[in-house]
This record gives sequence, C-alpha cells and structure tokens, in this order.
Amino acid sequence: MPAALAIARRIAQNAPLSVRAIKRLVRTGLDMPLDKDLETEYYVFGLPRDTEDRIEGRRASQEKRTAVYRGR
Amino acid sequence: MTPPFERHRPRNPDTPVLYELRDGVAIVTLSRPEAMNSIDPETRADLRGVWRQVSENDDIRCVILTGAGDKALCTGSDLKKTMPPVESFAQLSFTGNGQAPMTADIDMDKPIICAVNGHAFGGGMELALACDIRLASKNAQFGLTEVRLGTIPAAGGTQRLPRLVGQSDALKILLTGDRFDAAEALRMGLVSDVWNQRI
Repeated sequence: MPAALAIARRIAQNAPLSVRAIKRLVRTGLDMPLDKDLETEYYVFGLPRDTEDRIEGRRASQEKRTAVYRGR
Repeated sequence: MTPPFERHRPRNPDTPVLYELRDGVAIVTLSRPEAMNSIDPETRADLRGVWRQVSENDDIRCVILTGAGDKALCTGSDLKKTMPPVESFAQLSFTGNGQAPMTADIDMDKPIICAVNGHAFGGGMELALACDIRLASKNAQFGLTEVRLGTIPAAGGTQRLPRLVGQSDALKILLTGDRFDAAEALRMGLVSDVWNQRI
C-alpha cells in the first residue's frame, strides 16, 4: 500500500478546504456544460480566498517553508 | 493600407506578450523570461487584447501560444505582483469588478496550438488546457499547484482537465498539486507529442 499512502499523504498535507472544494467542483462539473462550470469554478474560488489557510499558503510560499493548514 | 504583419506587431517591443503573423499563423509569445513568463496584471491585460485581435483578424488561420526561452511556457500568476485585494470577493464579483480569468477571451473558433517548453504551472497549465492541441518538449513540466497554496485553480483547471484526461488522473493532479513530466502528460493524453528539442 505504500503508493496509495504516498498520494494520500500528499493530499492530506494540502489545504483541506481547497481539497474538498476541488473534489466537489470536479464531481459536479462533469454534469454541467463547460461555460456554466467555469462560472461556478470562479465563484467557488472566492470561498477560500480570505481563509486563514489561504494566508498561511501565501506566507509559507514566500518564506519557502511547508505550510501548516488547519481547515480554517 | 498597413500590411497585417506590421499592423499587429507589438507597438512597444517591451510588451509582455509578443505577437507576430507568419503565413496566416499568429505566434503569440508570453515574454517575461526573467519571471518564468508568469502573468502580472499588465501581461494579463495585454494577453486579453491579443486574443481579441487574433479573433477579429481574418488573415489569421491558426494560432500558436508559447513562452519565451526554454525554461517555461508560464508559471501562472506572478504572486509578487498580484497581492490579495482588500475588497471582499462578493464586493468585487457583484459590482462588476471581479478579475477576469487568465484565459479570458481565449475562447474562439480559430484553432490554437500550445507549444510547451519547460514549466507550465498553475494558470500557465490552465492556458495550455484552454488551447486545442498541446505539444511538449522533453523538458516540459506540468502542475496545478494551487491546492498547495490554500487556493483552487480558477481558470478552468478543475473543469477542462477532467474532460481531457478523465477523473482519476485529473483528481490526482488537482488534489496532490504535484508536478509531472512530459512523458506522464503524453501517457494521459494531455499532450499529443513530445519532442526532444525546443518546439
């Protein structure tokens, strides 16, 4: 199971709200016409825009360290 | 009348998006090699203007999108120059001041070939996804790294990628944020060809 665990760990390190938003967008998007999808994606992008994790992500990237996400 | 080539040459050679016409083919080049051809606000506006010109000019039969140099197609938004706005997302979106996506005005009936040399990350990869045919050099690297930064792709990444490569590969790319190489891109059908030299 090491391969599955490696991928799972990578996902687990990422911002959890972004992970869930992406999964939802992909799942719902496949049932919608592309132009409506793109509009939905734009609005969902706004949801995590001002979260603590988004700020942590930017900051960690600037400081060249691994981000610590809390799902907030 | 000004010949089309002259008319559509960049007025200022320092513009971040170069645009030339050769035998009915428009070559659009993201040209900020010092910043891995990343998109700052000026480039974003310039690119949009170029797509409109390409779309309207009947002398153009086909389009190529590429990046200057061999290090990158484009590495997405230039985060150094794209600071988070002070206005709330709702305020921007519902007063008509929301930022247009990086792929704004790329939707046209003329075919667009994307030549990927080097890195195509974030919005850079999304630009490639919005093209019709993708070719890569052997040193090409792809990735939608937004999830690692606490955000999500917002220029079609979550929508065009699953349609192009299927759900399993798309979600693996989107949820891990990992980079992958040209051989992997070829395997999943993201690119049509991989070339040993710069394309």
